[in-house]
Amino acid sequence: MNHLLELRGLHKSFARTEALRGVSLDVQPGEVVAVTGASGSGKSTLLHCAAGVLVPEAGSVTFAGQRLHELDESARTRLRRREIGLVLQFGQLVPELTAAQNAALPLLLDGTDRRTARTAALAWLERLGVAEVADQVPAELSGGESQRVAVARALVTGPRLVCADEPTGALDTVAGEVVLTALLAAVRDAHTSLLVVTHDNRVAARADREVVLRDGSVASGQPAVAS
Amino acid sequence: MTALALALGSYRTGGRARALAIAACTAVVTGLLLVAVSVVGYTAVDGVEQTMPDGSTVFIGYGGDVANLLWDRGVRPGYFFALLLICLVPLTLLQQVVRLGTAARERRLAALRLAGATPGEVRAIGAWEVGLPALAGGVLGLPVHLVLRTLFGADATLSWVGDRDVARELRLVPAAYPAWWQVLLVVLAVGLLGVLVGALASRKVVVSPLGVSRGARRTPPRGWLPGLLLAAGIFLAGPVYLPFFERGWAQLGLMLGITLLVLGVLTSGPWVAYRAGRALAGRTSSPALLLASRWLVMDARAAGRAAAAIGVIALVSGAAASLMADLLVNARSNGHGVEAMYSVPMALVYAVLLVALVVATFALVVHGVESLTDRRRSLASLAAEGVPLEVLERAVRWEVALAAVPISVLALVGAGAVGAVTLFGDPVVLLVDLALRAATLGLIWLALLASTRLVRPWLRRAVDPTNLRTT
Repeated sequence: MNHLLELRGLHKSFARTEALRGVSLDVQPGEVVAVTGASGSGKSTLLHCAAGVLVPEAGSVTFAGQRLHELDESARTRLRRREIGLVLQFGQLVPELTAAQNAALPLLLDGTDRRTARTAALAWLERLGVAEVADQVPAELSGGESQRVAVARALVTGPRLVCADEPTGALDTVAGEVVLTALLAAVRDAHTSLLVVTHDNRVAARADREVVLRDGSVASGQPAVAS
Repeated sequence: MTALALALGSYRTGGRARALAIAACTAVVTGLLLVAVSVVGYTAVDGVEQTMPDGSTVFIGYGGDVANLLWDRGVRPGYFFALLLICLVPLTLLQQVVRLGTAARERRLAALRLAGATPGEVRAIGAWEVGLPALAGGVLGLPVHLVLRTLFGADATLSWVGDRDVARELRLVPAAYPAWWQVLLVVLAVGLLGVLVGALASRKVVVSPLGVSRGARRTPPRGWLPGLLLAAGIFLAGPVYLPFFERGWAQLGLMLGITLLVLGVLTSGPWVAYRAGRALAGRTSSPALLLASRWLVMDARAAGRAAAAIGVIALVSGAAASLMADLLVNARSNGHGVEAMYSVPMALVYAVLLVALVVATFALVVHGVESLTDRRRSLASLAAEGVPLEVLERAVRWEVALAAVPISVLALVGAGAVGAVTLFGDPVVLLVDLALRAATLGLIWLALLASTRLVRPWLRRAVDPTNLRTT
């Protein structure tokens, strides 16, 4: 089977803490995979390795046939900018840019002209239900709106994979539901894969597959793979 | 272009004050550099040698309408050099204001990395953020030069030398403009300096999409480099060259020596602060002193760099005290007062030192504000545990005092060592010398008190319980 993302035998430590102990995981094109587990089980570290933000000490990360862990920082960033959308818990928008400019930023950094980038960004904001705040800066947005703008930014380049780390973790129940629905609808429409780390059972229930991590290892949910 | 646009975008939010401060510092540097360049271009002869009927030659002086520093070809290089040294004052402040708003800026850069900016693009944004206001400051330096020329302008007239008075000694800035290419070169150099400072400011910072981590600072500041510079400076600036002062090579050596000495003090700041912190950390039973000394042991670089400017002020003030004492010895021995051609430059030195002390105080304030912002969570936690605000305020004061006072005392004593030999024969002059040094130390202490008083609102903000919830 052709996997979009293949993680094999990942090991990652911080100081004396071993966050990942030989984790393997596959994600198919268009698949929504939820990674769950207790705090400190290595969920976020796994996601950051999958997105190429962190490099594992051992093991391999292969995305669409490219060995991500062998690329340098700039090459990984460029690949992420085009092919992997990243959404973190607090949105992390650039404070002085408007919602539309934030959403258009990956395209602008990639050399797309301003008008085309804005049109694409507005289309995504419209789709996620936040078009009316397009010209507002992050300080003027609610948590749910900020998070939906962050989702638009992650999807604007048409990535093949979105990695989301607790995308509803900082939101109340209603806002979290709105963001989750918008995110799932957007990735399913675009046939984009989603790897989402969550504590939220509602998120896991709506995923195609749930992978549970315990103490840096896969406890359940991932078919056995040859490492 | 995107990096440039994003750098420009930062001025719309919290970066505006920082940009204005950078532009102000670089405008002053540019104004001073243009004066220095015009001093180099000041070629008026200071007189001619005439052969008398009996075959002897006498020197007929011209140019009495300008300050002796300009008129005398022999001291012009020294004057040029002094102008370059004065540039260190706004440059020291520049080094501190570049740190303004570090926490917010780092969050913003991390957000840009999350949006897909590469490490190189983030560095370019950082360089533009400082480079652009520095370039604007370079252009604003032209009116600064104009103001200096209006206040202290001096025409290159060829008049007979007359009695030197205070008004003439204040005509320090050549009236002629530097050539257009010299102006362009200075403005571009200042802009480039800004780009370099902006790029270097984040060289130890790793900005990832997950946030910012600073380079490990576990190693204490190194002491051998400043020590070496200090030794070289003392050797070169010491009495070795003074007897040969009229010779060009000796003047060059003297300037090199002074440069090394100043660099030595500037680079010694963090090391001296670290040693002072370490010496006290294990001995004190005062909570405020313990906090201050531990802060310095953990990272003395920022406080040490801010305090190093105070050390340089003490060094120059100490040297000026020695010169004043020497002038007084001569004046008392020949029965005349100190001539205006000496007293005016000395008064100007002290005026510049006072301005420098005010600027250095603001550099300490900037350091204080940034440190309090960085430590807000730990300070809020201390306050929540019941540590009184007064103790924390004393700790802030001790931190700058431990960084600034030892280096200032060393500089004051060191600068006096060379001139001390001449003082022992005259108790009155010795007393004046000691009084000048004590006054310098007193003013430095006042500056430290003022700086901690000015950061008090930020301390109150830092201990706010809401900071317990911030990262």
